[in-house]
Amino acid sequence: MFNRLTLPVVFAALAYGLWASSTFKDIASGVAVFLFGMLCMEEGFKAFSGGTLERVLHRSTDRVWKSLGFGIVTTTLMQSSSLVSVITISFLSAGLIELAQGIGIIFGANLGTTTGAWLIAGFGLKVKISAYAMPMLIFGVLMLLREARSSKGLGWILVGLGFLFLGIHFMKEGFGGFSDELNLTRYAMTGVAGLLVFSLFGVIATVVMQSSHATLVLIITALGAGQITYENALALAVGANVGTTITAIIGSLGAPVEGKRLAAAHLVFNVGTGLVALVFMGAFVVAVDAISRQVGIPAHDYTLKLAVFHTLFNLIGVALFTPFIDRMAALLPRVLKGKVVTRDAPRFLSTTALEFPEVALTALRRETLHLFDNAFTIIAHGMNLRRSDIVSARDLMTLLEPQAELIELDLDRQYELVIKDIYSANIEFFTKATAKPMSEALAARFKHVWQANLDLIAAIKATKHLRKNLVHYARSPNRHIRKEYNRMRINVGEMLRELAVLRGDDPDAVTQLSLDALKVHMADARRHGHQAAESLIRDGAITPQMATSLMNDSAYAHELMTHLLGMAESLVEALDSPERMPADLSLSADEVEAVLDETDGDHRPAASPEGRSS
Amino acid sequence: MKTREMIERLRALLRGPAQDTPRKAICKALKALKARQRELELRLEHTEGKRARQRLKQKIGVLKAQRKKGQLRYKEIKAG
Repeated sequence: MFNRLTLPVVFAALAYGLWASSTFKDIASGVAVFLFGMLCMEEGFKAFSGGTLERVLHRSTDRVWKSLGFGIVTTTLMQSSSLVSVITISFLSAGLIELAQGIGIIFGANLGTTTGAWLIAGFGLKVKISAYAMPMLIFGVLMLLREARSSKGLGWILVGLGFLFLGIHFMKEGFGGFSDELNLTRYAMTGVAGLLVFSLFGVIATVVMQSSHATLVLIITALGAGQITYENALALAVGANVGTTITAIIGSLGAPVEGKRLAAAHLVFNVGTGLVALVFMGAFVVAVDAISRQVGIPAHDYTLKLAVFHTLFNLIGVALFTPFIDRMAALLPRVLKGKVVTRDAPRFLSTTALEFPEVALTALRRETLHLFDNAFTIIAHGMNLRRSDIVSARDLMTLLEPQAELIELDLDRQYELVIKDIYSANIEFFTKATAKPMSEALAARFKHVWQANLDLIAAIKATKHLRKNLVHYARSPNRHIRKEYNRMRINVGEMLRELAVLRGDDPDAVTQLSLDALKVHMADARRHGHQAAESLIRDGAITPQMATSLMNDSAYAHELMTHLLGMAESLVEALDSPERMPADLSLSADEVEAVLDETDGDHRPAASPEGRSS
Repeated sequence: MKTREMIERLRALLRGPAQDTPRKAICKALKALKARQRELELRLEHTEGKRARQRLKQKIGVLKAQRKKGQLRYKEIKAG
C-alpha cells in the first residue's frame, strides 16, 4: 500500500512545487539534469569496460593499499563512487578479487568522491560553468554519432560532463533566485538536534537521488547562495555519506553473498565514519579552520571549507578502518553466510557481472568449472570410482582384476540436484551476456565457454549410457569381460585425474599443449579397446552378447573422454593470456598416433585371454 | 616526468604487456617444454609401477614431439 502510494505522492508534491515556484523548478531541473549527466558518464565508462577497465582493475587490486589507491583514482576520474561500487561487486561476485581487496576499493572510492566537492566548490561556483557545458554537449553528441564503440563511449562521457555542468548551473541559479523569495536559513537548527536532523535530511536526499554526489552539489550550491548555514551543511554532508551506501546495498541485492558482504562493509565504514564525524564535530570544525588557514582558504569561503571537512572526515575514516580490513574480511563471511541448499546453485553469476563483458566471461568460465567439479563426482561415481581414489596418488591399475565395488548412484537425481540449475543458469547468463555489443574475439571466447558446457553435459549423458552395463560387467564372474570394463573405468579415472591436476594448475600454465598428453591417453585407450575386443571374440573368451556390449560401451567410454577433452580444450581456448604458448605446436591426430607407436612397443603384450597384462 | 612520457606509460599500462614476436614466443615455448621434459624424466627415474611409468613415457613422448615441431617452426621463421 505504502509503496503504491509513494510514487504518486512524490509526483504530486513535485508537480505542485514546479507549478508554485519557478526557482524550485530551476533547482529540481538542475538535480534532474545533473543525475542524467551522471547516468551518461556511467554509460560512457561502461563502453571502455570490454577489457581495459577490467584489466586495470585486476592488476591494480592485488594488494590492499593498491585497492585503496585504485578506489581513489577511479572515483576521482569517473566522479561516480556508485559505478566503482557496482564494478567492484561484479568483480567480487565473479571471484576475481578477494573481499579484503573489494573493501579497500570501496574505502578508496569514499575518499575519491571527496574530489567532487573540491571541483564544485573550487571551480563550479567560481566560474560560469554553463559556458563549458555547451561545447561539451556539442562535441559529445558529435562523438555519439560515430560508429566506433570507444568514440561513443567518449561521446557519452562528454555529454555526461556537459549535463553535470548544466545541472550545477541550474541549481546555482535556482538557489540564487530562492534567496529573493525565501530565506531557508530561518529553518536552520543548531546544536545536537541540528546535527541529527540535517544528517537525516542528507541521508534521505541521497537515498532519493541515489547519488551522494548530487546531494553534495545541492548542499554546496545552497551553501554558496547562503540558503543553509555552514553548520547544517556539515551535517548534511555527513548524512550524504551515509546515504550513499544505499546505492551499494541496492547494487548487491542481485549479487551473490560476496556482493552483500561488500555492501555490509561499505555500510559499516560509512556509518562508522559518520558517527565519528558527528561525535567529534566540534574538533572537526576547529581542524577545518586550521587547515583552511594553512592552505589560504578565506575564513568566509564556507563552500571550500565544506570540501575540506568532507575530505578530512573521510580521510580519518579510511585511517581508522583500514587496519581492520583483514579482520572485516574474515568476520563478514561468518555473519553473512551463503544459503545452505541441498541443490547446488550457481556461485559466480550475477546481474552486476553482466554489465561488463570481460567480467561476465570470467564469471561464466568459473561457473563452468564449478559445473565440471560437480560433473567430476557424477562421472567418477558413474564409473564406480571414488573421488578420493582419483585425486589421490593411488595406482588405479589395482582396480583391474577385482570385482568393482558398487557405488550407489541415482544419476538422474544427481543431475537434477547438482547440474541442472547451474547449467540452466549458464544458458541464461550466456544468452544475456552475448546479447550485448562486444568484440568478435570476446564473442568467440564466450562461445568456447559455452561449448565447454555442452561437452560436460554430453559427457554426463555418455556416463549414463556406459553405467548401464558397467555396473553389471565390472562385477561379472567372467574375468575377461570384467577386466575390460575395469580398464574402461581406469581410463576414465586417469583422464579425470589429469583434468583435476590441470584444474588445480595456474590457468596461465595450462595451454593447448598441456592437453596433447590427454589425446595420447585417449588414443591409447581406444587402440587397446579395439585389440582386446577382437582378441576376446576370436578366442571365445566372452559371449557374443558380451562382445556387443563391450564394443558399444567402448564407444561410449571414448565419447565420454572425447567430451571431457573437448571441455578442457574449450576452456583453455576461452582464456586470453598474452603469455600463452603458441598453439601451432599442438599435435595432430597422426602425430599423436606416432607418439603412441613409439611408447607402446615395449609395454603392450598381445592381447590374449589368459596372458593380458596392463 | 614529461607529459608525453607519462601518457606513453599510461597507454602501455592499458595495452598490457607487449606481445612477443613469433620467434621469441617459439623460443620461450621450447625452453618451457624442455624444462617440463626434464622434470618428467627425473620423475620417471623415481617412479615404479608399469602403468605410471607408461603414462610418464607417453607424456615425455608428447613433449619430445612438440619440441621437434617447435624446432622446425623456429627454423621456418628464421629462414623467413
